[in-house]
Amino acid sequence: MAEIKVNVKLIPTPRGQARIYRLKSPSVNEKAVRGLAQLLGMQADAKSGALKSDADKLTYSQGALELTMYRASGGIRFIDRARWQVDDRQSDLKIEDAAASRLAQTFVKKYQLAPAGETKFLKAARLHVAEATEGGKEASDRTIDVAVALQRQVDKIPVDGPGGQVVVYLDYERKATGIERIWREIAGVQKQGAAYRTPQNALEDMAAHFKAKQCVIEVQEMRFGYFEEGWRSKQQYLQPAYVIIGMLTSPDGLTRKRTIYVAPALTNAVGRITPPLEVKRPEQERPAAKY
Amino acid sequence: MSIHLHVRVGVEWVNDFHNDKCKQNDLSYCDDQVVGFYNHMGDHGHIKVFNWGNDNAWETDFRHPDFGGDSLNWSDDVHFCMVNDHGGNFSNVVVFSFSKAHTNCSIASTQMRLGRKNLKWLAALGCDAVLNTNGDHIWAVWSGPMQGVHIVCGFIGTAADSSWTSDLGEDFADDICDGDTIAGSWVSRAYSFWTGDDSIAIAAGVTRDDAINRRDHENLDWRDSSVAHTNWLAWKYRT
Repeated sequence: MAEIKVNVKLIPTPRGQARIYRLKSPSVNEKAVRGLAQLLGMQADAKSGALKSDADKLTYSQGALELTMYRASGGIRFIDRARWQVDDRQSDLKIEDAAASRLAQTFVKKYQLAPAGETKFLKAARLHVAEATEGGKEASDRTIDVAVALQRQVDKIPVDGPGGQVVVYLDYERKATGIERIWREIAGVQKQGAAYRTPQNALEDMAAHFKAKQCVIEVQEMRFGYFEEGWRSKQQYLQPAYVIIGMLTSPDGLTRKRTIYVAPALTNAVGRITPPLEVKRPEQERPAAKY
Repeated sequence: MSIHLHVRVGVEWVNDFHNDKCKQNDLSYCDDQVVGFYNHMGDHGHIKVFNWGNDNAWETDFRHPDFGGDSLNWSDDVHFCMVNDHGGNFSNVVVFSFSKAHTNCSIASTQMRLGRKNLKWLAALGCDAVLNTNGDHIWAVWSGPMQGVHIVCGFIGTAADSSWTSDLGEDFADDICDGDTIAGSWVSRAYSFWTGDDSIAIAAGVTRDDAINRRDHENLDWRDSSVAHTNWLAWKYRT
């Protein structure tokens, strides 16, 4: 059974009333992708570009521009392949987070990628290129782009998880080269939230989730927010959650890995958030070594 | 852009460890990431060679015969190998942990000779492929083991074992099978704003230009473009 050790001060139980929202099923089809492509400045009439479809996504490309829509989430990725993450082998982007955030917000506003006032700066992550030869000699390191994540806010509560973000990529000229957005539309209020569960309740959920596992999880961080899933997930409801980040460190301290568990934060939550661990069939025994 | 060559793929993963000398904290989602990669590579027409999990994943599959291992029949008998389990990095040596002692509970990068036979790309999804992005550290960790392999993908520091990152292998496979560059796709897909995973891809080259070219442009169609000597490393990372 998993042992949960808490090495941080738990966050307080949130106050105020939250809601549980029902989410719209994304409409991902040729009409939708061409319509969005047009909004983003691509030529997208019926005769233009190339449309590619697979089980998970629909991709429209025209020249170097490529727009992908994910069927399950409605998430979009729009990149200019001629410029996105491309290095000119000399530039070194020096930009403060605040300036990068302003540029990203302007871009999001211009293309109406998120409703006004519903995003906050989350983080700016820089893409570096570097080289070295023997012993680390002649080492160089340059920044060639910055990805700015703007976090969705619902009722002034941040949206956590792989979704609930717009990411804007800026190149060394501080021009946008791509965007990623996972932002499911809200259909309406499913129900008003009742009382909050406590962070301790969430830890108990985590222990129960990992009950079949032999491990010691040291909780390092706990966050509260709505939780939105990633590219390939169908999600029906947006509801408040506790996000618990723990560390699994080997008994000798030599190896480690982080683990993440997400628990519903309301006493009248709609189902669980982290899917139950699958019970897997034992592997067939491998034949003896070849050597 | 589409890919014209087929590559051979092998994956190894460990979720469940025994309460013996190989004991580690159990993991839960290592299979999701690498089996997703394996299956999507297969869906795109590439050759699925092995998928060894838990007790079937052996350190000897990564240990070179110079050190008594069997890597040339497994990790180095495919073009693309992905491994996901506990990882560590000490004194510039990377370690992968296994659930069963076959023959040992772990393999250290000092006993790897990646690419001596067929291996072109290794993705190591455990923690600590590198601890930082200093040139001397990256060189010290990877210049020795990279002996013909073109690119190694991994994480800077710790990585998450999470239901919410289980699509990584599928996304990465789909990208590179569509012709995306291996280093670019890895760094883009493996980075996560919300889990804190920082990604890195390290390319080897005979010259500086060779290493940079691989980092910036190599895709699966570069399978047969060999790296004769690792004189240079070029890497990209997001943090």
